Amino acid sequence: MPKLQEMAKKEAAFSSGHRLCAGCPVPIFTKMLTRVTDYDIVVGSATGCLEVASSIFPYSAWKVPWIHTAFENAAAMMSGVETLHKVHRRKNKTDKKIKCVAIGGDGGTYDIGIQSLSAAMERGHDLLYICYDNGAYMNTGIQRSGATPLGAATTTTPVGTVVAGKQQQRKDLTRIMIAHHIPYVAQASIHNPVDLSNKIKKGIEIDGPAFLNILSPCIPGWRIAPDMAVELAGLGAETCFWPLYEVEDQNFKVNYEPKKKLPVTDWLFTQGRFRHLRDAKWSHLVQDFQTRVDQQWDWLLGRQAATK
Amino acid sequence: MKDKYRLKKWQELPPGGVITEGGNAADYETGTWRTWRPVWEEKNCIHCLTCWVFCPEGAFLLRDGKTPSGKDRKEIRKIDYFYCKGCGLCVRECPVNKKGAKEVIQFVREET
Repeated sequence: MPKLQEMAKKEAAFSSGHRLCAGCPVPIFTKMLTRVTDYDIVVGSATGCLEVASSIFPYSAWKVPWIHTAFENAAAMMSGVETLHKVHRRKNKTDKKIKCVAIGGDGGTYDIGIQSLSAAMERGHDLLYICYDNGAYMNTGIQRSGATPLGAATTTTPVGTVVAGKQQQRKDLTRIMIAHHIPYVAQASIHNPVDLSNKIKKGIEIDGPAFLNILSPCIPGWRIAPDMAVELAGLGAETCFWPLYEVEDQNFKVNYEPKKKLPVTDWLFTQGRFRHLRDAKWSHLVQDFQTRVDQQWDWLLGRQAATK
Repeated sequence: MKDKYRLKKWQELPPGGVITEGGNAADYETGTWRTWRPVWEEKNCIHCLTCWVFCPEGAFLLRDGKTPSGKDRKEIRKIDYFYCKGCGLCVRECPVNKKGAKEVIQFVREET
């Protein structure tokens, strides 16, 4: 893969010695940030695993300018940084062009930060927002979020004899962002580094707001072995739970179509948080899950055919 | 070593608790977390860099090398056990390991 060889020549934005869990795949994309583009970047993180584990005092794992902010305003803060840079350029204080990247987890993006994200995208700041979706508030101890899939066991949606995990379907943030009609929206996953690096590069270099949603399995939250993260992300794409696609100016492009679409149970039953669904008692939940995944996949293929 | 990990007194810290150097987490040893150790052997390695791109710790160190046809490329040099947390992603994702006939990265129990 020549692309990896090119990336290997550059220095990573993220150093070793950070304290994310063993096997956590989040650094796979944070290391890529400077490797894929020639622009200088500024990164802002919302509260979350990445922010907490990368900046334990007196250490910082970031080799690029980095700002930490609260859950709800990562996008608002980075729009401020971007506007300041624009003013500096207009007043000829600098002739350099920097790019802004905001990173948030799914709690800080799907739930708490969605209004500042929506507003930043609507105002049209030149900004890439990356959401790494691990499907719950993993940093504070696995509480349910808007991204938690149906039936998942978390500490706030425990499994009992009457209730089997989360009772609601997850929301589809990527589609909400598509509805903002911004220049670039994409959904990626950490198991495919070439596709992922292409999308990060496009998102950073495009002029205008961009949004990237990355599936990032969580070792303790999904109750999986530390070496399973990449494999489960791959299964997410194979079962079409997490289709890899990008939308450029409302033109849909599916980046990966599995030759044979696997049933969603292949993905569910490799995770400890769904193990109760093996019970025949909850088979209607698995069916609901499958129906939703099929609907989404059909919708996506339909959109792709319509915009070709 | 001991001196390095002792907590600093407040007089020794920069005003405001500012971290003056970017990327200084590299001074922190995460290798002590490890219970299993990946062992990389060059013999069967095809230098595809899959382990390097997936390693969350950046523990795979690279060197300049040449392809069999003489082109410049980056190659795996060694695993840095100062950072390796022993998650085993490299062992599972190595394409040579996946084929099953040969093994490039072995996973062995850490000696205590």
